[in-house]
Amino acid sequence: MADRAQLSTPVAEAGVGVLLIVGVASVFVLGVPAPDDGAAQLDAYAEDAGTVLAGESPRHQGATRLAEVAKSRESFERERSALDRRMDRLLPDNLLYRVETEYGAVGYERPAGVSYGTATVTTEHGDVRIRVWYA
Amino acid sequence: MRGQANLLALAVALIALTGAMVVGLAIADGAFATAESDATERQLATGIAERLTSADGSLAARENVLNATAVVSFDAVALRSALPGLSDRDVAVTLDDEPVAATGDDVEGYSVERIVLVERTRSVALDAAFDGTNRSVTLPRRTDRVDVRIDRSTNATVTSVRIGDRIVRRNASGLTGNFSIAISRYRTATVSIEADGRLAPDEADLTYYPSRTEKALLEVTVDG
Repeated sequence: MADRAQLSTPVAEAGVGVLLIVGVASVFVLGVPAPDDGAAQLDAYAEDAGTVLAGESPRHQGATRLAEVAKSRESFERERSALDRRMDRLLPDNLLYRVETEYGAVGYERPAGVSYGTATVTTEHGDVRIRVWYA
Repeated sequence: MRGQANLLALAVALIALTGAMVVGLAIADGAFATAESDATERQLATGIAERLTSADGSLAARENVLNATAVVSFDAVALRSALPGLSDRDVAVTLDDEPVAATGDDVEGYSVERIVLVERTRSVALDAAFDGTNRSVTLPRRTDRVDVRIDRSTNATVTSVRIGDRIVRRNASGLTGNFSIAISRYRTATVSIEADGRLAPDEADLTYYPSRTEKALLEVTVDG
C-alpha cells in the first residue's frame, strides 16, 4: 500500500504536468480568435458607398449628392426617396443600410447586436454617416 | 527496491512531460504560422483592392470609378506589374463574377469585395452647333470635357469661348483651332462663343464626352 502510493507520485505529477501543457496548447488551437473579417468588409462597403455618393452630381443644387441631402430639411425631404433608391441599388443584395444626416435618416432601423460597418463623409453642410450591415 | 521503482517512474514521467511539451510547441507554432499567413493574405487582398479602386490606380478613372476600357485591357501581366510586391502569391480579380485578370488558375483564399462604378465614355459630335446668331449651346448631358473646333471664318472673328459666364479662351484678333476645355461633371455646361459677325454653320462645332456609369462589385482574391 505504502509502496504503491509512493510509486505513483512522480507519475501523478507528470500527469498533472501533461494536463497543464495540453491545456496551454489547446488555447492555441481553440483560443486564437478568428479574425473578424466581416467588420473590415462592412467598413469597406460603407466607405465605398460614401465615396460613390460623394462623387455624384446633385439632383438639384448643391455640390454633390451627399452635400445636397445634408443641406437643409427641405432638400433632405425632397431627396430622401431618391437617395434611398440609390443606396438600395448600389449595395449588394445581402446588405441593409442607414444613411444619417442632421435632418433625418433614410434606410432601415439598425437592429441591436449586429456588427456593422460605418463611414462618415464630410460635406460642406455637415457630416453624413453611412452604416451597413448584413441582412 | 523503492528507490529503483521511483527512478523508473521518474524516467517515465520525464518522457511523458517532454513528449507533451514537444506536441504542445508544435501546435503553438502551427497556430502562429496560420495566423500570420492569414494576416498577410488579408492585408494583400485589402491593399490590392484599395490600390485598384484608388484614383491613381491602373483601372480607375476617379476614386471608386473604373474605366471600362482599362478594365477590358487589364490582364495578368498588367496585374503583376501594377503590384510588384506579390512575389509567389496568386491573385484573381473579378468584376461582378466575371474574371478580369488572374495570375494563376483556380485562385482560392481570402477575398475582399469593393463597390465600384464602371464608367463608359463616348463622344458625341454636335455639328453646326453654333448657327449664325445663336451661338450658345447647353450640353444635354454632364461631361468632364468638351472639344471646340473653330475654323477660320470668312465673315466673322471669334473672340472668346465661354462656359456659362466664365471666359475660357479669348483672343481679340480671332480664335481658330481646336480647344479642349475641362468642365465640371457636377454641372450642366452652356458653351457659348462670341463673334463679331455671322458664322457659317460649318465653321464651328463641338464634341462632348458624356459618360455612363454602372455599379459593379470588384472582388480581389489572394490565395493562401
